[in-house]
Amino acid sequence: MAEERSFEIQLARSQQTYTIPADKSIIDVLYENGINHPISCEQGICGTCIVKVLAGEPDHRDSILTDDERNREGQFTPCCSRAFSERLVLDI
Amino acid sequence: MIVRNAWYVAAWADEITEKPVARRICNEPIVLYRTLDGAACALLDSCSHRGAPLSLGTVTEKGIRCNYHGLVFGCDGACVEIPNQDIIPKKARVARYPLVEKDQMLWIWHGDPEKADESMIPDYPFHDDRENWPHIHDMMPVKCHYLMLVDNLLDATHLAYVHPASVGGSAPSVHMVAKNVLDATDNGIKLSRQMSNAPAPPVYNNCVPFPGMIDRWQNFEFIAPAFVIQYSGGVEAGKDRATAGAPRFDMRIFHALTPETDTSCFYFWSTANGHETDNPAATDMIDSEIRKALAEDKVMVEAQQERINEFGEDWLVDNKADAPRVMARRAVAKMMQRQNPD
Repeated sequence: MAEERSFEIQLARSQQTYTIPADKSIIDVLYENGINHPISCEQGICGTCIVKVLAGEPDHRDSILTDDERNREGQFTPCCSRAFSERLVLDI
Repeated sequence: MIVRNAWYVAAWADEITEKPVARRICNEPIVLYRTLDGAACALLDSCSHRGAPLSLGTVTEKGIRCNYHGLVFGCDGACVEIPNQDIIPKKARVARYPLVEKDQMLWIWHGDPEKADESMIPDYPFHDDRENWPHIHDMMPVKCHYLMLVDNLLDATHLAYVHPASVGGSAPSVHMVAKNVLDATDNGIKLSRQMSNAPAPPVYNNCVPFPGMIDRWQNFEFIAPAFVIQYSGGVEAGKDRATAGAPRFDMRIFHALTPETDTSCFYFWSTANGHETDNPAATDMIDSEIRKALAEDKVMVEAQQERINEFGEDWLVDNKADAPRVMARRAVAKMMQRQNPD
């Protein structure tokens, strides 16, 4: 497993920005900040947490999204996926 | 989650004769029968006169006759005869369902008849290829939602627990570490599993004794909403699958799940023998072995459905191995969404 890096997310609806450290998931940080985004399997299988990426370059780690869903529809699983870019803007 | 604008298997072609058969499909009572000319028909199983089931009727030269008051209906659902009456009201008709005979199955369409496109019926040429793939087919009613059997078929990790004495037969770890390749298709998914240097499961060994370890494959294609096409087999470990001779095991299974109600379905399947094609006993052997496995699945999924009826599914948490079934369900959901955009 390559070493993870930290990045930022911005929530489009509240305009809040959070830093995701290397050892935490997006969902971890959302929960720490009182944002109860729906989750279930925590490993990119069930699709419960899917959100839309509005900007940035996602690093998809799920096992269920098709290329079309990732690239054209912008679907993303914040439970396990991360970012290649410094910042991701999510439709939350 | 029942997709209406889709083809489902209503029956094996050889199940349906001039003697009407009642079968509830997609929550609607259907009567299936053949005319005296041999054409297969599907009508709503309720006479337009007083509602009696047409499946209690008799097929005559003019059509199916309701055995309550003798009205006769053609394959198009229109009433063609009312005893002792000259007028046949235009409204005296029953719903008819497009029904197509293909690959030894009768395919029914429940949605808008205008949209019934026969090219959407999956191809399965093996049923008619008796020389290379002799097969046996059957149907089993199962008291579970039809997609729970799709889940079951696409989840190999249950093999070791539900089927240790039949198709599983390996330590759970063999199934857990199998090399899986999962791809989305336009209308479903493809899943291939490869297990190298694995012990042959009891079914394989009962059919074709293998002296040692084998390389196994299991290829599944799910076609939304309700079909799984399986090709499984094994050759002696290290041999080339394309060229290896006996001992080898080659089995094709066609699985079609037809919703009966929201919590019950009909499981149509066929098992075909590709390794000992001139030996009917080998075809029988696969059939009897797979039957054991299906009976094992039925016990589990029916008990599972009872719990789901009681507690729902929203609280259930997926495992890593659930990716194929989740993708399959997403493909069905997408198909539904395309049909009902709101």
